[in-house]
Amino acid sequence: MIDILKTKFLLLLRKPAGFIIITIIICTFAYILGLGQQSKMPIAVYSDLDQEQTEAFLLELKEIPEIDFTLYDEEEAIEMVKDGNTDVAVHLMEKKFELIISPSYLDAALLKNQLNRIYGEFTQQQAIIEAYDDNPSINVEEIIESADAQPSFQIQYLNFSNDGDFVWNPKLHSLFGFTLFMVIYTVANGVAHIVMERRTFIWDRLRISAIGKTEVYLANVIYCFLIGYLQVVLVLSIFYVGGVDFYGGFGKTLLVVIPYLLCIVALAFFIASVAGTSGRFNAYISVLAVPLAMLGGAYWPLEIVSSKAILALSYVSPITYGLDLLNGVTIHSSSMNELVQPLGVLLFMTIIFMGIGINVMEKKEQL
Amino acid sequence: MMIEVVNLTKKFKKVNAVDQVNLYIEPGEIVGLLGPNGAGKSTTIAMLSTLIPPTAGDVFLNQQSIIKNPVALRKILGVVPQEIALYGELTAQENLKFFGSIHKMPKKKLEERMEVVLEQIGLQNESKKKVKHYSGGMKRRLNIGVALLHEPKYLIMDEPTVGIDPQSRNHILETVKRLNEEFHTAIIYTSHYMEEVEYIAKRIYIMDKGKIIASGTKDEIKSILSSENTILIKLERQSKEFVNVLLQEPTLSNINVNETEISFTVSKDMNFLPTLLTLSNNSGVRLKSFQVEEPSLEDVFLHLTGRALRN
Repeated sequence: MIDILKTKFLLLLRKPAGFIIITIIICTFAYILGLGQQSKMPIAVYSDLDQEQTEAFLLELKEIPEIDFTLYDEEEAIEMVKDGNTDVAVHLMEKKFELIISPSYLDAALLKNQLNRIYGEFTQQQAIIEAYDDNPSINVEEIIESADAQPSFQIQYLNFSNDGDFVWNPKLHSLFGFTLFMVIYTVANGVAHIVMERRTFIWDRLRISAIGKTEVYLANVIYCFLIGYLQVVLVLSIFYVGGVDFYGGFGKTLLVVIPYLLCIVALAFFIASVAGTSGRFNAYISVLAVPLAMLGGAYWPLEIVSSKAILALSYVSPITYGLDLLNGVTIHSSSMNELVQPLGVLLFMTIIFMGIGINVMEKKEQL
Repeated sequence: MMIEVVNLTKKFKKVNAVDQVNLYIEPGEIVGLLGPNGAGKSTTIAMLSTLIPPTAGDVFLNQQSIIKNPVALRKILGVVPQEIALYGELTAQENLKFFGSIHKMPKKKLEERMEVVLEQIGLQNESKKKVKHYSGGMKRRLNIGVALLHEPKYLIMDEPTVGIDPQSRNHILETVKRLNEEFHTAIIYTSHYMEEVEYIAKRIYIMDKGKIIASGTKDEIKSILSSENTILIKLERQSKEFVNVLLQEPTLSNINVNETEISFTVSKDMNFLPTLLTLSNNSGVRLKSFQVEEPSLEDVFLHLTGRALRN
């Protein structure tokens, strides 16, 4: 089995163009659609606070990297939302804030969360300053840091998706979506080797060798999985190092992508068993991958899709469950229980596709 | 250790690709399996190689069924497929190393065998070149070499000279003969080129439409036509009148006309030369030459099936 794997990787090294091109395509598209083209989103701010507090607050808000907060009059700010010049206006008030949101804005929950955090920190700072107002030697930042290090209460936000709001991060979505979509082609390239080997008698040489049939299949499954996994790790690492926020779940993304890749390997085996020839296999993959990506929400989040038929069809796409898992361990901070369902569906699909695929391949060999 | 094939049959839907084939191969002999494309040779070989199960019948190695226990045969069998079953992106050495390793050969032994095989197939100076840069003949030779790595006692070769130049073809035929003479490897050689089979095989099976239609040594098979002689004549010029006269002659059969050359078969018992001279004189055409030819396997096939081997 090791010899088959070694040879497969040697062949990949000799002809790495396909692998490299797909990796570049994923990075380019994920960058263009999710990261690169996005200029800072303008958000109008109007305030009931005094000027000093408002300026201090704006300084804090400008810490949010993707958003450009600009101060306006109340009337002006609301008019901007009405006219569609901005999607959101933030109304700063004493101890709370208000959001005026256009219906097309999808990131309300995320923005609310960020503002809550900043508001909390800011009001805490103000409270400490007021409390130690008579003692100028007190360093407010030190007090806050020590309070953070030894909090009276440990509060952990495991999930904020239950509040009914749709949480979406376009950067991560395009990165995950395109990675899951394009890696199908990389895995398919690996499986295409099997189709070619079966046509040229190399597969038969293996079958009549001292290596068992199970070992031959296992080596090929492992190879196809590994090239897909290598690509996913490479792409996600590039963006992680490049500063994309994985919400502390980068390591977990590398784990939860495993069942998705196994499912894609199984699906490719199934298609190979039906196709028979390299030409047909490539055609089937090309025809299937794009709809699977569209239905699975790789291009746009399924939450904005209103068609019931498309939503119903999305259940057959492994990308749906792959995205659920990746979003789950990053932006949604889902618990293990919430991940069980997509995980289970992917494993079920893997067993079904692989089972049918290998059986059909074996049957065809007997003919 | 003899291989015996008993009533081997393979049905694809309603078509009998191989129909009740019986044959045997003794250690150290070369057996030819001759037949036109689509005769069922490759299917027979696939069953013999344990790659596909038969619909009926069995293959025995030392009276043990290899359908039930294929491992015993696989250890002593090498298969040279009709296709080039090699990785084009790898060198000859890398290909040999990989295909040797799948036979679980110890590393040292494999390296020794690689050198021997490269010498046998005459590629020792080209072993570090990628196979995709090889000529058709070189690829065919390496295709054979891969099957020889584990020193098989039986070698099955399925049309190993398809699509190559005459020089490479001769090299392959000589290699096959040398393998048999020096290492006593038993070889089952399938081809639709009757001159190849005639040249290397001691015993021959002729297949057509899934059935063995003749078998035996070359002489035994040719004796099927022993009652007839094939006669080739050359005329000084073309003559339609003379051809018409020959066509009306009841004692002649299988008349083939190629410009000034005419061949036909006639009963061995009959002295046809005087008649021929009279007929040519009457038609006003002179004979340039007259030749009695030995029957070939092609003639036998034509006789048995009414079709030429390469049709």
